Amino acid sequence: MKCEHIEELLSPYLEDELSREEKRAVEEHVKSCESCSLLLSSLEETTESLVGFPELEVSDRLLNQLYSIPGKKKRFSLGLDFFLRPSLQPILAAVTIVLTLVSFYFFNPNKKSFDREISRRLHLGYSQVGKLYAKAESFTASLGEYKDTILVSLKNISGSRETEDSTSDNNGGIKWKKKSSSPDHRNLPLSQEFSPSSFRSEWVLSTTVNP
Amino acid sequence: MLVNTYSRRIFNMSFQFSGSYEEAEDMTQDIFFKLYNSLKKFDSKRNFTAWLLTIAKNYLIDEYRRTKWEKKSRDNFDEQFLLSEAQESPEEDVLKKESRRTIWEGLNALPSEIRMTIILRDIQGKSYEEIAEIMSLPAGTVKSRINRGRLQLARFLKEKKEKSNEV
Repeated sequence: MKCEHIEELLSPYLEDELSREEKRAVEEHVKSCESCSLLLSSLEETTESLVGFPELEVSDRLLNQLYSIPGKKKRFSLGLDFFLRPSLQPILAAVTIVLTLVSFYFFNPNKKSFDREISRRLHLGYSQVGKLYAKAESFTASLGEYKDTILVSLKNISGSRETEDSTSDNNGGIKWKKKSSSPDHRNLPLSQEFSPSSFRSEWVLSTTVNP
Repeated sequence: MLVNTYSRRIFNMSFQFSGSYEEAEDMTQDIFFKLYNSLKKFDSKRNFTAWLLTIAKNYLIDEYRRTKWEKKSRDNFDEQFLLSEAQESPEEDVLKKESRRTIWEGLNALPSEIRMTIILRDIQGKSYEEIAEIMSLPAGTVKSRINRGRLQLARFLKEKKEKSNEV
């Protein structure tokens, strides 16, 4: 085995975690390789030194300071606990943003031009709204004029949909037949079912020869 | 109650990690402060000691990362604490002190996560399972980190020895 592979096995070897074969391989290699042997002895020394690392006593001063922590914490937390609740965090964030914007407005060196710009925008907004309002009024007035016409045409359309009949004219065998182009609604997809074109009907002239 | 049970353990962990007595005292206070603040979040199904040591581990590693460029004094371990037990002879004292100083230097050169696993395993004698819970890592990863850390320390010690032999 190569030294690199053996080196990786040294720590598990000391912890007695290797299989019998691996253990034998490590022992045989260490006998013949001076570098790995030195590394193994260094590793043993390291673990021994670490195990014997001194454990220190805690000083009375530190103990007293540790005993006083709960009291300190209580005094400190009384004021902060309320404000640091998670439910208040969005409100605190919103307040921070508003305060930042307000401070930006009040401490802006170009405050006057800023004011002018705001009032200009406001006036522009008002005039736009006024124009829209006027347009809406004229539209409702024009609708009023054509109200009767629209109602009649709507009635005609609905009446013509209800019956699919044919009217015949005996004059010279000429027959007027109403051909509805509206398809069978049960077979139509939903998007097409109520499209205006599906209700279009037309009158077609068909001629038949009377016997 | 908490202070009596855990102060010694936390203080020693901080000292072993930082190598400075004063720093370890400050860190212990901070860890206990954090502990009192987090007590409400403790899940009673968990092992309390492991949970507390996880808080301590997170704090120590974060603190190390935060201040690693500031504190160059970290390289100098408080030597008066290197020997706590009485040795048989002054020569043995010197040798042991020298060896521990070298080990400390090597430990200090390790990445903070590996150093913490070595401290928990080899100094504090915790099992792999306990370390895995404290470090929030699989036991296999803990084992490989410990092996890697020990090997680095051993190489460090070996190089030092070789250099001193040359001199």
